[in-house]
Amino acid sequence: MTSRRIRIDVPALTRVEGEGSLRLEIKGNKLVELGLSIFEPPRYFEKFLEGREAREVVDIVARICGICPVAYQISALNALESLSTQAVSPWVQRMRRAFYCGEWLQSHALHIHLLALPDYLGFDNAIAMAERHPEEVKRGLKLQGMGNALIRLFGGRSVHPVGARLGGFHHAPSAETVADLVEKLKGAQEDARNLTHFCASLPLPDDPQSFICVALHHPDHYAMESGEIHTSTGLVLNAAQFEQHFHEHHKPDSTALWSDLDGHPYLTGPLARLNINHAQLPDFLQARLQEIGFQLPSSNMFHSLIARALEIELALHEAIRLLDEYAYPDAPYNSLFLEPGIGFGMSEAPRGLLWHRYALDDQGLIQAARIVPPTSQNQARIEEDLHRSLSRFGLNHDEDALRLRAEQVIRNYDPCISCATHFLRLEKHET
Amino acid sequence: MSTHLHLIIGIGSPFGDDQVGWRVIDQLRQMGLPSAIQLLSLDRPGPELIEQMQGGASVTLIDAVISEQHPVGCCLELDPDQLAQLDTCSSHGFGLSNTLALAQQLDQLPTRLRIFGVSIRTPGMGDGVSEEINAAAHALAQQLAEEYQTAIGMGGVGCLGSSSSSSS
Repeated sequence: MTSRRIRIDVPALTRVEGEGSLRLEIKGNKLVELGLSIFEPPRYFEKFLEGREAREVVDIVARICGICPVAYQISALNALESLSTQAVSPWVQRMRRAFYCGEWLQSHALHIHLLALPDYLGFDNAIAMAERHPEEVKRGLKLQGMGNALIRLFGGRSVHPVGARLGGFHHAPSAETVADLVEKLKGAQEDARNLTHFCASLPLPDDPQSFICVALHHPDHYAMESGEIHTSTGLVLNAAQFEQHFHEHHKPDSTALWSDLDGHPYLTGPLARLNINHAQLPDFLQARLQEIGFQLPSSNMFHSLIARALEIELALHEAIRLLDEYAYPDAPYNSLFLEPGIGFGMSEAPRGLLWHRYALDDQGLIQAARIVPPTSQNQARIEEDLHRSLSRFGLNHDEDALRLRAEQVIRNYDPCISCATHFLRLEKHET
Repeated sequence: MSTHLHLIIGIGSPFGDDQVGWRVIDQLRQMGLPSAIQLLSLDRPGPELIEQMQGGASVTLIDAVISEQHPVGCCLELDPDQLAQLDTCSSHGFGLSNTLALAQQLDQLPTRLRIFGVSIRTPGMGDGVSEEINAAAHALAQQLAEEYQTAIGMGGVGCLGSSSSSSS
């Protein structure tokens, strides 16, 4: 009897960007072992934060991720500012949403064009794809550039931005600078529309599955920088209630924590957001759904690609809407007094729900911090998805085909940029 | 951005000797270079570097490279193909070599591109840089300042030394 043992490893690039491995063992035509480990960096950061002043947190957590620093900053600010009886100004609320739009734009554009599209267009990587599809890649870089420009507008720089602070921003951009950028953003809307049509035209696998969706919901708009947790099982939770239903636990073969919702895997990220909040999409995107024949809610994880394209259109639209009426503020921040206590905060990072908790003592120092990032929340769901998708795909496929499908499944969750390019090495052992 | 601008871009991170590109830019800033020379420090820009390079008549990139074959602080002038053989200090999956390869595929490399790699062993985690890297940054800054000032005085950076173009 011939059996195959297939081992897939994700090499450890650095902990800053995340690292992981996938072990897949097939004997005969049965999947006998599947183990996913993705290691997330915030555990050390939680210790780094202890003893720091509250005002330092926003700059420290920006260093956790090179791709979604804004999400870490906003979740931290939401948590810490919940300890103040004062509120940030409406200007700050609007500009933080515009700031966040930049991160969705750059992260989603990067993921679609440099990480995901080569799978569907038949290339090993984006560099090879660029030779045959230069216009698509240029469009992706242009959209990513728009996101970077938005982050720079408020953050000073696009990687690990430094502009955000408790109560608002250190500086407000000039009205002229904002107006220039708005014109550029408007010029990118056609690119974004074309991208959505392009993604919807790709031959994405049809692989419906049953899974729980978790996303923030805001009564006034498509949730991004704030909101309450809604689940497809009907739960509605504020940030302080998160730990009553979401639990993290260790697995013997992983240094990362895995999350569950009352014992069940769940999805967080663009498709979960769309599934829960699609009714709040603006009219032009409701029309887009009709144009491309996209039914929501969707139970096909491969639709995550289309979800990201739609959220790129949404982020552009929102940024333009918020900045079109930009006025230079009297002050870019309010000085907030934080009461001692425990503050909870969350926001929707490009990859999904990002939850923070901070305990602040009466000296204004962080006593304890807890950060639950989206990638660790999705780990159990990814493993569940791999089990189901690979079995449905057919375990009799050769290892190249199995590896590609496994990579595609994992990339649907955009676990991290370092991991998501060429990140599975397949070793086949036959006995 | 003016097409007459010459960009010198230092690429790095806050970690130890990986700051060498930034140190070169810091040194150049103190030298009062002509306004036609724009200096930029970037923290692991990934593909955003393509956007940052657009519009410059010439672009000079400075980054740390890990090479066991060269002593620490050795300054190597490289073309993109040579760069691909070395390990640039990027924590991102899409580092400098990949970014330049992508730019080349998209015909978006600057007309004149110079790449300087400064050899380091490991980036390290501290704030400071080693003495060798400090000296190398100072020497490279002096070299670039003299070359650019001479070239601009003579009418353009076309007089500068070796370069790689998008057709290379």
